[in-house]
Amino acid sequence: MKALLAIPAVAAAVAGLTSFGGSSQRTARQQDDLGSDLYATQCASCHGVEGEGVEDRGPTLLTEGRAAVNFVLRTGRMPLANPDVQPNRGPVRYSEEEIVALVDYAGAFGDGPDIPDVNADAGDLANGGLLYRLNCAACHVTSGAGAAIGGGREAPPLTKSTPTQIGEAILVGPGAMPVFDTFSSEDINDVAAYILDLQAQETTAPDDFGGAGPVAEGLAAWLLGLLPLIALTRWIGTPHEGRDAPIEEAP
Amino acid sequence: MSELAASETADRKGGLVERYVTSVTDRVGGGSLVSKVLHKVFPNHFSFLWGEVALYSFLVIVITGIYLTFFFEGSQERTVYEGSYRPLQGVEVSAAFDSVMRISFDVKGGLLIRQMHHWAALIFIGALAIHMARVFFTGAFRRPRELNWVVGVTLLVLGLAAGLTGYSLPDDLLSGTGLRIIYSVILAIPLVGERLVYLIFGGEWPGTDIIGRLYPVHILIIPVLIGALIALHLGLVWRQKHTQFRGPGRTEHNVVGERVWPSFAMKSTGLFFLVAGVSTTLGTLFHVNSVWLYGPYDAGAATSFSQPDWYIGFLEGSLRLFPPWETRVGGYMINNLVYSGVLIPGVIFGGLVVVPWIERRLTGDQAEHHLLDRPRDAPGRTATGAAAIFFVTVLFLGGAQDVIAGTFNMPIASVTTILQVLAIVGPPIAWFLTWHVCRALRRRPGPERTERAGAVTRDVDGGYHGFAAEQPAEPAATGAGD
Amino acid sequence: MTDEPRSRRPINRRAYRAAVAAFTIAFAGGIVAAIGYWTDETGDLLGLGLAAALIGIGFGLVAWAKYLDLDEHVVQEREPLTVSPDERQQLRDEIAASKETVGRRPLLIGLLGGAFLSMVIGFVGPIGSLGPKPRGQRGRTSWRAGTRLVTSDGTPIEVERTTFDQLVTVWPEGRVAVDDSQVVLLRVPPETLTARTVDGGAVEGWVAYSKICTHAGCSVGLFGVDNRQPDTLRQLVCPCHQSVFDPVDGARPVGGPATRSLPQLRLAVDGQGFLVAAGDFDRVVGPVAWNEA
Repeated sequence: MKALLAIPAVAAAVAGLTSFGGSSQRTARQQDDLGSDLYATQCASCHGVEGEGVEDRGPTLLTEGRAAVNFVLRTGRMPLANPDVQPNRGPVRYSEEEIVALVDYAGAFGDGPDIPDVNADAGDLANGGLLYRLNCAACHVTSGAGAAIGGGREAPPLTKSTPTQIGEAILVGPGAMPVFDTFSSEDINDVAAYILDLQAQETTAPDDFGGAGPVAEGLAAWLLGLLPLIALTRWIGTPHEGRDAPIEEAP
Repeated sequence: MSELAASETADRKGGLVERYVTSVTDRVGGGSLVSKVLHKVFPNHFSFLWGEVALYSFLVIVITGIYLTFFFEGSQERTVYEGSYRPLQGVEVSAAFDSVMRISFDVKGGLLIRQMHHWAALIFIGALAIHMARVFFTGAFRRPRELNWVVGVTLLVLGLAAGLTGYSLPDDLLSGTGLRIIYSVILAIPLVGERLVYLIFGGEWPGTDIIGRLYPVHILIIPVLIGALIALHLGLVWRQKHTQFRGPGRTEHNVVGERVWPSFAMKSTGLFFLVAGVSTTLGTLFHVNSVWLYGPYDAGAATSFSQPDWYIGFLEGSLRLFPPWETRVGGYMINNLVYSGVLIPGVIFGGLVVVPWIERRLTGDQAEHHLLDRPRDAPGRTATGAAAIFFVTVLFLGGAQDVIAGTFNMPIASVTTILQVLAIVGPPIAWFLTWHVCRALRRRPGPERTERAGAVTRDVDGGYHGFAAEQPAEPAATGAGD
Repeated sequence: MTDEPRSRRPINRRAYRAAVAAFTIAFAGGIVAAIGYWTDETGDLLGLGLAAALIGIGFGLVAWAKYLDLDEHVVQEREPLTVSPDERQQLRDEIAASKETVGRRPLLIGLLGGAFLSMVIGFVGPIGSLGPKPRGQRGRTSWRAGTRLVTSDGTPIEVERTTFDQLVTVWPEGRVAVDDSQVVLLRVPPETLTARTVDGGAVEGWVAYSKICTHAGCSVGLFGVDNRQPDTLRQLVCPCHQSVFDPVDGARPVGGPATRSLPQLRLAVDGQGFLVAAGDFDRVVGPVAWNEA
């Protein structure tokens, strides 16, 4: 079985290597080929040749769609080296052209949502904040820092999310995230605007203790406040001539 | 010329300070001000300053707090936020939240004062804790200072209450969630819980009263109580004189150190400025309690990293770590929250209050003590303290269990289970380890610090005898530990 | 060095210079703070200037006290803190004398005590005005049979939405943001629901629970759901104390400190295809009192 896969794998690898030059003009047919070649070599071993999924390796793509594929590729979550680990944001492994091709190809397996057109500039910050705190903060924290959510999963930080990725995540519900189907496109614009504002405020910066809340603040109070003060009391409270100096007559 | 006239003439010739001081003491008595107050001797050890750190951080809190009261509005009345923080413009908030936003964004210097207030509060409780630990581990709570110990524990509880009411005032999502939890804990109390919580909160949750009620509690009732108890606490220390470690020349009947004026007063004042300076530095460089990110307390909203300020963390941990146990009898029950939210804190603080009497019962020591033990001199007490601190620390870690899980990439359930096991198994282990370390340290040969001096006596001519350098170490009879 | 009188000891030059520097920096700090207040919008200059002023004064004072002439090591006798036999006798005499004067009127003493107690009880009344008597208010929310489920901006929920494993926070129509009526509405594949949940009022995979955690009352907003093999996950988690509820089995608690399941809101579909409640919750929502077991 593996030997059978090896032949197209090697052939496609060669084809894949030669495609790295990134030629600008491709026919639709070549684009199709690029998509299917990439899928066959990079994705099929876990997601199945027809996108049906492989037991204990990867889920089916028949319920996904273009937005889902676009999301995982552009955030570097796929390709995933180890299927036992939660996919996290990472370096993007494909060129723009390859992503477009894969989205077209693999995105066609399922009838999930299409890539949304998100316009953060048109978003209402106040409504975005209300929606964020009602729906998102429980997992992603009010600062956008992300948190452990149980079951060994984590809601990731939102510090690097783009508006499109935000919209895709809301509509697709990647990983352990539920789908927020009742968000209108205005709602998505609003939430995207709010999250971009959080990023602009640098709410997870060191001087905000990573946005981790009162636990980090308390730790900082001890390390940056009490410890220096204890050191200062040692300086202040230890007599210059030592505690065991002879007792003198009061001047 | 009569004596009085003569001295008055001398006063008039004296400097400004002399004249003013004598004009007061001439009218209220207290002419022995100099010898009684200015020459009072305080022993010096750096750990004796931790109580002062607490006192001075409280002073910073009060001063910055007074400034904040000029801007804060303690009311849940609904208003629309129209300040300069864009993401909340047009949002319906309470007047309390609105005023805190105003202080933070639209009052120049307001945010700095608010941050200083919050940092000083975080430091205040920490200083109380290490001060209490110092008093405990050196046995300073023994006769005649039992009353002062009880006053101190009460001050700790009041400090916690001040912090809790204080950070709840902005009526934001995080502190509002905390108040909701407190509502639920009080509700769960058998017999009186429902009636009591309706009285405190004015009915069902959330109601429209609680912020308005917490405000006078936070700025008037608690500070007055703290102020009065501090006066009592310091008054007792003044009257009974401070304890001291053993050393050359130090006996149970004297105090060796420095006088109030000028040495002690200058160092102490310097410490105040340093404490204020640390609060200011932290308030300038870092952000705490960014209420604008939490937003107003809205029904249905929630956030992860939902913890109270650090000093309430042990209660939070108790609620998180306590297993899902409930006791049901017929249609009645002792709720899970009664165990984790009432019983466990009750045991902790109840245990703290009776420390001096437990010590007396366990050691049979009824004597008056003005010389301090080193922790190793009382292995039983030190080990018990270590075990208690271990337990409380596990509770604090429990309160942060989701942060720990996220930081170390562990499942939350695993962290919870580990901490639950540590809470049960850890304290006895800590007890035995500490006990053995104490005993081993006491057996150490070699150059001894003079703290381990034996009975120091004073002869008729005023000379001292019996420093440790002269005789092998034998702790004065305290009856503790061994 | 310690034998000489203080006034003739040589001065500690380094400490002196340090104290001078500290006070000078403090002086500058105050001025910087004032300038910062007037000119700097970020508030950093104000804060750093103030910090420099405070720390400078503190540092200078301590350096002065510790290194420059003022450090000392003296002794003072303690006064006895016990009561002498004479004083004890005096107290006994005073107590005996009081018994003979004030104590001669036991009836008055008794009546005074009773009157005082009665007065206190009288004052208890106004304390009762602090809050209403509990009359089962928490037993009813704003949900009624036929009330539509709406999002926070008032939009009702269509039954026919196709997406599974979604989460919405909903309120009774017309009563948005009423705290005790907050509901978390989930849609899961219908075949994953247990029979108990379906009997409890789930409709075509839609299932609604009170969002108020039965442990301590926080909003249970954390829906961890991964329907992608091999690692499926469906749990409702409360972010406050990490209580875990199983959304496909009547939100019964499966982890954390919660002991009671989230009350389920029975659902139905109205004539226009929107989700409605089939009635109020059948038990008290959120944390309960001791007699609401």
